[in-house]
Amino acid sequence: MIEELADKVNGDAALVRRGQYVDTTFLLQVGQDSYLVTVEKGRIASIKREGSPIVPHSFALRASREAWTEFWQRIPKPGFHDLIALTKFRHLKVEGDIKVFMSHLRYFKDVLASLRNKAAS
Amino acid sequence: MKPRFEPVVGRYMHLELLGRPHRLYIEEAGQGIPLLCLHTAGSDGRQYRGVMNDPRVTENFRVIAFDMPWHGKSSPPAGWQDEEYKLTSRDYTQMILEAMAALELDKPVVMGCSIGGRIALHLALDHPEKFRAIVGLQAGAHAEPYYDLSYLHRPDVHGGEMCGAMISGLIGPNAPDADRWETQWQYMQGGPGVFKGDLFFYTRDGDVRDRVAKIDTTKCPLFLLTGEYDYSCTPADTLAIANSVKGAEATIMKGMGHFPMSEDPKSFLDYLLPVLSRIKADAQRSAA
Repeated sequence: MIEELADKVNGDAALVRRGQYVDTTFLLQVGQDSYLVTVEKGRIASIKREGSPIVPHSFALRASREAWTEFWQRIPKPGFHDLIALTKFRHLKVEGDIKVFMSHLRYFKDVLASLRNKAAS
Repeated sequence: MKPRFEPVVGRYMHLELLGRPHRLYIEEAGQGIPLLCLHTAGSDGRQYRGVMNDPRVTENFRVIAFDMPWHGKSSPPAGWQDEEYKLTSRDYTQMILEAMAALELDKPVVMGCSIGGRIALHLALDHPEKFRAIVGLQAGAHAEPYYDLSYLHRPDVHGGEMCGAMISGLIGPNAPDADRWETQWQYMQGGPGVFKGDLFFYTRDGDVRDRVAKIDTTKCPLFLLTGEYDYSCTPADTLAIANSVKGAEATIMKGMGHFPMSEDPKSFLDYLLPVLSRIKADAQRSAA
């Protein structure tokens, strides 16, 4: 599912434009699985499953699989519907160079939400 | 599309607030019982556009919203350029009472959201005799900051983008797109440091946890409406007030977030109109 991120983001011209000044690699942790997501000028350039103990990244988003699964519902439950909501209720940890994340907050919120199931349920 | 004017009228008032001359922008619509509306932190009176444009409200209520100094079309006071804006409980209360006096409002209903909901609790505690009823939207006795507030005001991060993105998740998932983005636009337009300065009141100075239970609803009725998806003032925060204040009435609004009157005016009015009907019936009873 995480692999779909590249197509979802790169296929959304407005989202890529919004991220035109984002050049970074961040770590996305979903339960036990970690992914290194490299962004180049707003496009997702690569997504790599990460297994090594020394991992270069600017910031990390870490949450349980259950929390992300709820976040990716078409209409998530209250508290699971937004990255900042997830942090407020301690479901999500944001670590590392927070400034990159915060300066481009709308972009990163939209990137993660792009995996949300938009189809009518 | 045929052009049309809204029934909302906006004017600038010059008055003294907190001992200094101010130019304050005030909008109003309707006639009848004065209903003074207080906007959220970092936004302005446009949040009440849905309430002001609904004839079911304006046939019985004179709806008034002023942009707080530093917000919307109200100017900061002369000399602002060397000051750090920080809202305090004392200044916020005084500003509301002075604006009411200048507008010659006799026992208005006050309805405030978020910081406006919090100051509504202060008004219920300290000045209940001055109000006909108090409506707190997204009102809690306290809010802990849940992110580093300094990001709202630093020259190397765009304040407007930051404020808009920070509050985006506080809007409920069912909000109509146009109203969702109108709500965020108003945040993106705020002056540098203003949202942060308001949050000084919201997260520090305005804490009323130790005395909120002393609100006496026999002096002034208290209605609380809170959106289900608000993680800043949560439904639990509002229900805690309802549980500790005898006579306070709380309703949790399904699917809605932190800006009910702005993010989804139509759904919000379904919750507000019954409250206004009660207030109107009370007014008729006491006039009889």
